[in-house]
Amino acid sequence: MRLKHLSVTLLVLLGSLFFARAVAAQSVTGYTSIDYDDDSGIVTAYSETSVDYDVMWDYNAYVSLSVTDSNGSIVTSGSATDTNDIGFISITRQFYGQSDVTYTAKGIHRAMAVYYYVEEFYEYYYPYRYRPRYYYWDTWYFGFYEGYGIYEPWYYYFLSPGYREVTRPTRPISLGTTTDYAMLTVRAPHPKNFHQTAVQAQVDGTLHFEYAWDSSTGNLNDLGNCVVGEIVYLPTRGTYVWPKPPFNSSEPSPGVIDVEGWRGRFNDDHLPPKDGYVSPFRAARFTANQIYRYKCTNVNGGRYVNLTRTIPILREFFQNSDGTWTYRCSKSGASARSDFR
Amino acid sequence: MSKKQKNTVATYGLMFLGALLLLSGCAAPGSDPNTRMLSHAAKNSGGGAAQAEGVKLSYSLAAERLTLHEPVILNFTARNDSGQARSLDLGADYKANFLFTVKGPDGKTIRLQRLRKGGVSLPGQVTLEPGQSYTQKLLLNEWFEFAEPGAYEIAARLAATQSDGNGSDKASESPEFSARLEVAPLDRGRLSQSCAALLKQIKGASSYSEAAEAALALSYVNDAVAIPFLEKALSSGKLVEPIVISGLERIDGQEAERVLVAAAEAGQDEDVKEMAKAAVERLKMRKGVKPRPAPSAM
Repeated sequence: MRLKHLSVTLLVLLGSLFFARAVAAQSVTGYTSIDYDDDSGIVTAYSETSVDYDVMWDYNAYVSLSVTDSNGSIVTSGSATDTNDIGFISITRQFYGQSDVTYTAKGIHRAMAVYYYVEEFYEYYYPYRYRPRYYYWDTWYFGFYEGYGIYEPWYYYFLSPGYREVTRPTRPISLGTTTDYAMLTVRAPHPKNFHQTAVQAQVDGTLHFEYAWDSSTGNLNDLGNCVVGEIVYLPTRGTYVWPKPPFNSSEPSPGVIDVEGWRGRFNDDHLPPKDGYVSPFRAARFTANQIYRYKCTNVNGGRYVNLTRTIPILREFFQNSDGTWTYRCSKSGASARSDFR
Repeated sequence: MSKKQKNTVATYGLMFLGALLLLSGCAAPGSDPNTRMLSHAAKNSGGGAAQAEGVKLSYSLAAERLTLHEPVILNFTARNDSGQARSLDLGADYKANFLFTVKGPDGKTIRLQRLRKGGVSLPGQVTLEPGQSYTQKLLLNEWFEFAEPGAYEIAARLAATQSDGNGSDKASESPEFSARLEVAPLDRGRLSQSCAALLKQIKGASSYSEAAEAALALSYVNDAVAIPFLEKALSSGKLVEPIVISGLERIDGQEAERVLVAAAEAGQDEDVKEMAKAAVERLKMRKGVKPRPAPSAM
């Protein structure tokens, strides 16, 4: 008696398991995550699309991953399709994160219909020809999700509405988007609030700037393992020789200078040509592009973090209406000049 | 950085000091000849110097006997013996207001150009509270190469005014310090030991200032012996890559170029790769054709 009851129970359980599997079937799942490793400074974004075993013969998995920063600018992106018919595809992107930025990862999940048939369709207009028309089988009707605009955190389960003999004109079936975000809060001290404090035009044409910054901790002495500095790109790499004549100067490109972060301030002098001018004078101009930035051993993987956008530095030499010549250096709305009579 | 560290900022390297004490003063009678008590405010034609009455300056060579290419280090100390806070302007990067003359083994005396460069630099102002001292190391190789073995006579003083940028300081002003330096012929074994010590200092540094100080000294060891140590310093993770790359570029030669090419191609940091690439291009230019001036455009 007991044995009979046990057999019946097992049958029920097995049947339940079979039924449960049938319910879990005919679905597509989407998953997206983004994480930040504080030690390495690396942000890892991941997204996957998984097609259930029962429908994987009819659909290939597709996933598209993009990561945007706090301004909505795309930091990295990519997409992939399961071409091996394993019912699964994933994509991973890694990059060094910037402090105090919120990164958002978005995974777009699609099922790519596998089977199709083609009909020749005659066009009754120029150039009057037969064109193929494709009909993709969406037998589990995942097209149901198109237009719903599904946008869910982290994970979504796209269950098939059921078997239907439906066709569609395009292969990709957009299901929806899963998303995750990571806020990078750098614990290590780092420079903040970089700002210009003074500017001065000097008589020899030197344009003198002064800048200052704070520590994220409020104490500059915490920036002992940070540098703050500049990188200046000139029109050519290696050594840039200023247009000669009229200038007699050259400088490394890019020019990189760092100073100790705990100092909290530095000057920046944009000098006239170091070896002066040569005749015959003629008009000339060029632009250097400068970025101020910092680097700390334990922030952003020890790599530079920009403090400013690119700042153009324009140097010109031109003739005035009275026949005299002028050297002028301009940056951030200020300029210094030196006149030649 | 601790208060003690701040007060004794014993750093040459990027910390460099320079110092402009505006003063003309005479050595106090009976004082150490290498020490000068500044007892009068200097005339300030540059507009940036401040009074430094009662501030005592002293210098000393870290070593008076070296072998060729070893770093030549001058210790500088300013102590405020007055009862009031005093300000010094040491010049850009805390070193631009130091003036040196060097008499070389050939008997010629050279007045070294002040260090003046464009771009980013530290302001160089130092404020000393009563009784407070300020120290720093000056790497004299930044001013002069000491390229030959022999006896050198080094004289130093602080500019009475800020630099006008063209090296036209009055040569007549008497030095505040002079000393004799003996440079023995090249001893690669000893030089290698010096480099190893500097590399150890870089790797063990607890701050960028310490690492940069040692890296700058290593970068001025203008001999191929330094290359493997510079290569290791490049991957030390102490933020000293720009200093090290400049050093490799100064040494030049095939081995230095190999290290730079490797850094340019296989480095993990795009910025370091870019700096190394540019250095390699400059080395190639030096060997071959000079870079052409950019065409004038208007």
